[in-house]
Amino acid sequence: MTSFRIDGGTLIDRNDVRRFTFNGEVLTGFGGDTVASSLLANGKQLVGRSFKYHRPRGILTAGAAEPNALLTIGRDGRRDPNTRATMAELFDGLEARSQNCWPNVNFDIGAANGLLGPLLGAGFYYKTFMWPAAFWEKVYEPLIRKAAGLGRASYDPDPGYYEKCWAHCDLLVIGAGPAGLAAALTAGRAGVRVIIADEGVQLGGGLIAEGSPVGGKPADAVLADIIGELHALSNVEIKKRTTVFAAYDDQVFGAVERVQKHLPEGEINPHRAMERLWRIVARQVVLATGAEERPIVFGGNDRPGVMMAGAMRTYLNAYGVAPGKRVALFANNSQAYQTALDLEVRGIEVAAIIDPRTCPNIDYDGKARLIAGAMVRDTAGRKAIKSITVRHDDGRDEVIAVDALGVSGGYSPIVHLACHRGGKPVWSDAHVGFMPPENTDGMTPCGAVAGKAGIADCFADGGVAAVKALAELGVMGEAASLPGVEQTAETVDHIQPVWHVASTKGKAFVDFQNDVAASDITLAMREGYDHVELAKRYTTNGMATDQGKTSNVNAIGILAENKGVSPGEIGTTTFRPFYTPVSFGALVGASKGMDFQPVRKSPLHGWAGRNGAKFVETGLWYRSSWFPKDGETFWRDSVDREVNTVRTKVGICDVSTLGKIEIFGADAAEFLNRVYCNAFLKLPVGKARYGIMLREDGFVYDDGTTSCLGGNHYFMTTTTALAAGVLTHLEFCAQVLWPELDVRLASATDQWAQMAIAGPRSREVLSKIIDDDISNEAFPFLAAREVSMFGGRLKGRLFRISFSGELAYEIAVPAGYGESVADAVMAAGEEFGITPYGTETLGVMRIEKGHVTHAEINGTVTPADLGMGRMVSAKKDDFIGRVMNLREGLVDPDRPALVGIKPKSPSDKFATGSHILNPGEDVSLANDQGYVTSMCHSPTLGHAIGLALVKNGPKRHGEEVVIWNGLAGTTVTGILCNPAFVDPENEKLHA
Amino acid sequence: MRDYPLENRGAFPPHVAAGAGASISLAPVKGGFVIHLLGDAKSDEAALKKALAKIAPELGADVRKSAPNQWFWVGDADVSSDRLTEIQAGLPSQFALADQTHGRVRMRLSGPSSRTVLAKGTMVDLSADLFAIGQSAMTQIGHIGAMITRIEDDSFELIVLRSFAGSLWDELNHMAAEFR
Repeated sequence: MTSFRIDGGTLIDRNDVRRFTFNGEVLTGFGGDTVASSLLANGKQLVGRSFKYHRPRGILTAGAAEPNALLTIGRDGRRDPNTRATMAELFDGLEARSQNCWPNVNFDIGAANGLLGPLLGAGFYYKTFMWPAAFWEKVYEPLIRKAAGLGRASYDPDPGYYEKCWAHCDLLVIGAGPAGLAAALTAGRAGVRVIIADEGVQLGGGLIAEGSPVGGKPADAVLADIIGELHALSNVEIKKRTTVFAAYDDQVFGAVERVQKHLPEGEINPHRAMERLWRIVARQVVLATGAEERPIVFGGNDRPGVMMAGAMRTYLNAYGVAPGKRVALFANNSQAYQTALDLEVRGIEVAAIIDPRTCPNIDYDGKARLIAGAMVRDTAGRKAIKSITVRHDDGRDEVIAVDALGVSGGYSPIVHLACHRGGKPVWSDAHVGFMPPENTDGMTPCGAVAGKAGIADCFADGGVAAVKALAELGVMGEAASLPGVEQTAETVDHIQPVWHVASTKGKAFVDFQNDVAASDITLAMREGYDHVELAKRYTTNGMATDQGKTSNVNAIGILAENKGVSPGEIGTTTFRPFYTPVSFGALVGASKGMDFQPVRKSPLHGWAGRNGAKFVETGLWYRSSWFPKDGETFWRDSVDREVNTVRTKVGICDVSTLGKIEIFGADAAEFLNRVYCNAFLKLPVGKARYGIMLREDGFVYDDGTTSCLGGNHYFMTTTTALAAGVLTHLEFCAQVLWPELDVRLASATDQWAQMAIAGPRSREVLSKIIDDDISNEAFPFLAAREVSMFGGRLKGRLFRISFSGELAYEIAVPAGYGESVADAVMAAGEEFGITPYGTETLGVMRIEKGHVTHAEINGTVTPADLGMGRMVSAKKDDFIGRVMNLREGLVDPDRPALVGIKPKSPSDKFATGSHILNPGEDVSLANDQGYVTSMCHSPTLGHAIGLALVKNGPKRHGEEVVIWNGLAGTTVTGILCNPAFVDPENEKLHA
Repeated sequence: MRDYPLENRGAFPPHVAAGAGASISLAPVKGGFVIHLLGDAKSDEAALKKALAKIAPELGADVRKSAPNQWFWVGDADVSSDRLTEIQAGLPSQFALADQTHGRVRMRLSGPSSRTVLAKGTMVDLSADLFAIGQSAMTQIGHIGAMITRIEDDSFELIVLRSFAGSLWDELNHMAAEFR
């Protein structure tokens, strides 16, 4: 350990020595250290290179706002780029690397950019790399991106588990500094449900770094008492390492909890989340997010060793780390003097305090030389600060040798969460900062975010805020107070705004992360980008991972100063989530890999698996697509066999995934009559009917069958894809359009295992397991009713409907019995050569029969386009889509309409999506005749067949056309034909 | 007619058994019934509930609200299809009945960590003083729709569509793994 580690440090445990590497070098730190504090303790002031000029950069802050010290931590799948060293907890074995430097952070080739600094101002790239235009995307941008940039993401999958959670409370306290702690204590004692969240490892905020006693007691002892009481309150939930990153509508707050990011790999519990994304629903919120200390913009203000004055204090008191051996302070406010006192107490020389105010008016009784009315205009040193140049009020320059400089330009309330819902912050001249919006609706700001300063004032304000929030909840509360602290009149710190040191020499940085200098802001103004939103985008000030936490207000100040207006008139850019970066892991949660989305399995899934099915994802469902037999190596081998078997013998197919809806009610028939475009009012009991639903705009929405199972009881099937959509549509119709109708809808998709038994032998197979008479006379085409099965051991629903065009049935049985029934069908069908078949065969057979699916019902077709125009009732008073279906464009005889298509030469093939042209005509939109919607190889016919939507198609059967595949650049001569390739007379259906 | 074997299979593969840890256990509820009762939308909900209260006890079951004027009638007894027909015939006229015994799967999550586990999936506030024993909520657990009913102090029954049961089972096991 080096001499930068000194006594004290409330957060560290000196018995817990931890080894880590920084750019390959082995270093040690202590338990409780951050990576930043341990680097400083090891004398590492240079930790990274800047975004654009590759300038050496050190650690600026001790918290969430850190713009410079972004490291890549971890390796392989656990590698996290752009990790703020100030927030990363040190663990044994941690690996940290600097970013944006090559070959290393000490010698970085990219630093040559710094020599070009005068050329590389804002807008340089846009102005320079303009010609030739095509080069921008292919050459310039990739090169610029390579040169600039932050860390790189890992290509390896993160082995960690992530999850999302909900939490609920009466009062959410955001921030656990003095104000937040007081609010949580106040509300906790009043008995309401409290969640207090803080991004730190320990609760305490400013109290952690407080070197002076509070109410006569050491600050850490006061803090321990408060935390002890909060822990004892069962109604208070403490969330440490938890950043509330967003405020959403309805009092929902987003937060990310770093659960195991601070643990060495060996200690990570694989079943616990690495990070948790919280959605916290709070009735009231106390916002105690504190204030961010602002840098001052002066020449060389980015040199390693220049640090926020408050951060110095944190490293001293919380981590026992000296920021340097000879330190100067440059501050325009009185709070920073406390840093000087704390440094002196620890025996660190304070070379000077440079205060721009001519009469600082503070009671500082330290040893340091106070230089009033002065500014720091420059710094010197290669990779770390060696000296500062002070411009005195008489114009004289003085060089002071230092190895660290603490800076404080005032405090910016952390108003982000108060503004995420659209509120604009309000400028306060008294506080020299933007305060939370006046109306924060359910959110009470307190403490430093509300402009308070000092432990006592903040604590008192937190108590008051909680009492106010409790009153909104209808609960009486008494503000918690700090023992031994007498509330004095509020102290006002007279801060003299210093946005930019006018006598600056060299580059004075406003935004450290984006290398935006004061000169870039003024350049943007000269070029007309003086609106705050434009200046941001022109200069990139306030962008990237830190979102301008240390730079935005200074940029606004510079804009205001140059325009001669108040910063309030300039205003801020828009505050949006996220407050600090949130990992993709946390946002994704558990939904990755095989858990990306839920899997739906049919009740016949196990049966299909036992029969060798190949499954395919259709939406969430896993459907059996084909059933290969021994020797079948190619899917078409199986599908051709399955089709031939069904057409000549019999097959069984799982259709359980089709949507099924039970419809009840005295007005169910009338209801169906209104949602389908064809007539349903007189559907007799025991009958099924094919129906088409239109959308309000007259196009086809979905199709399916509905059967009447009893007087007021119907059973509807929908397509698999629109099962949920149709039910939602029906509920909307029932609840909103026609509340006067008595109709009730129950989703029954999962209740029934349903299988199609298709083929000329299907009746013989089913007769073996169904007790009832299912002869053609007793159970004709479109019959539908409950049947007794297996000698009365089971009841099922039998429908004589056919998608394949064969003699076919669908049998539905309670899902639990599905596998047994499918096994029984297979056994009963064995003597007839039965085959199981999947969705591919289903598809081939429906194309052969000319039946449509959503390949044709693609949102642009009317029933007439599909050859079903005569189904649309002309007699019904009304039904959904009736009026719009009569629109001029929808009844145009030239509309593309359903037609079959086959190659002229049987050996030719064509692809779905191919366009249809007249022979001899050029390929152009004007000549387009339509397109192929579905195609397959027909094992029945022995060549390719397809369905197409072609202009005036039904009248063009026999016509020769060109099938043009623009993607493959091929053309095939085709012939338009009847879409029913198989059994156009429907003889099989009625057999 | 051949004597084909008939087996009523649950949604879970046979090897799935209850998993238990010190503070959490997850177990499938096998058998029993789930009947969807759909009341006339025009009837007053209180009147419908009164009518339900008369018929529910005969199966030793409880009635859980699933939607306005709709309930799931849930119990552990096995109800034959004949018995179901009888029940249907005896229902007050305001009700329609849809058997969902096969379409809905029940599972039970119990133990002191049950609320923490469920909070990983549902936005419903299940805290003891707000979500009383016997209370139900139709919600989502992750991406999967489910009905949650508080059965005992720290015990919740979940009803999920059969096709999603395997996924929900796996997800709950992931969510509960840290407490095992």
